[in-house]
Amino acid sequence: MQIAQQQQGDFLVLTLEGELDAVTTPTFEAICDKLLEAGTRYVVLDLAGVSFISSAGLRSILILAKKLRPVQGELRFARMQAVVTEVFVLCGFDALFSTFPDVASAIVR
Amino acid sequence: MQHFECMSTIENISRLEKDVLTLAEKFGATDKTSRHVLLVLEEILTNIRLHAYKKEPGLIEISASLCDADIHLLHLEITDWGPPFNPLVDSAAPDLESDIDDRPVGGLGIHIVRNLTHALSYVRLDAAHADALAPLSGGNRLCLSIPLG
Repeated sequence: MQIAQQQQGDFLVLTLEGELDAVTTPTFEAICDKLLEAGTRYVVLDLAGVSFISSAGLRSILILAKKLRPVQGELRFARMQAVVTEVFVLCGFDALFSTFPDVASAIVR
Repeated sequence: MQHFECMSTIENISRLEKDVLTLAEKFGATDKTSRHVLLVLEEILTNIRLHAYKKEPGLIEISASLCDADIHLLHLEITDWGPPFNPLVDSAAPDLESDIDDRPVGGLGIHIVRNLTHALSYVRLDAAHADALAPLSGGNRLCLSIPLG
């Protein structure tokens, strides 16, 4: 799992590359915790490069979203592949989060 | 019937998933149903790695066969030799409707498995079922079928 960071307007865009599963989520969670400590509030996850997500990946996303709530932050998604969308819908995550076809529309507040 | 087995390390599990996936494709799995096979394996095998064999890696066994009914089904029997754990009963119930604050983070793995499989069942194996390689304390076996068509 590779994670690139880029500030775009109010949002920090995290571009994920690889699989979001039980093996890779500890790295993802550690990076997110650091960003939250540093004051990040608005996050877009660019998932164009994520080809697989398991319940461990969903869990880490939900944990991040829960941590952003008390600081009035927001978590959005861009460029989600159909394989990830399928798991999102199966687990009712599509109702929790806003998803966008591209990063440009995801960073508009 | 094809038999696979390995110790529950991350590397071995990744290889085991690929081996079963190759078999599923040979049995006619599509891109979509291959993904379902991988997802089900990932959920169950991760659970075994992290919970059944918390302290040190242990033996995972998989028997795989094709059920040629109206639709092709990949039938899997997945066995570990850890402490008793029935994921169908002992897992947290998934909550798919609460908002972010109230939604519990657990129970999604078994929810995914239930939704992508047919005829999911659990049996606790006593020592009499154990083969020569396995410890005598007994094991857990999940039996399930995944549509391939």
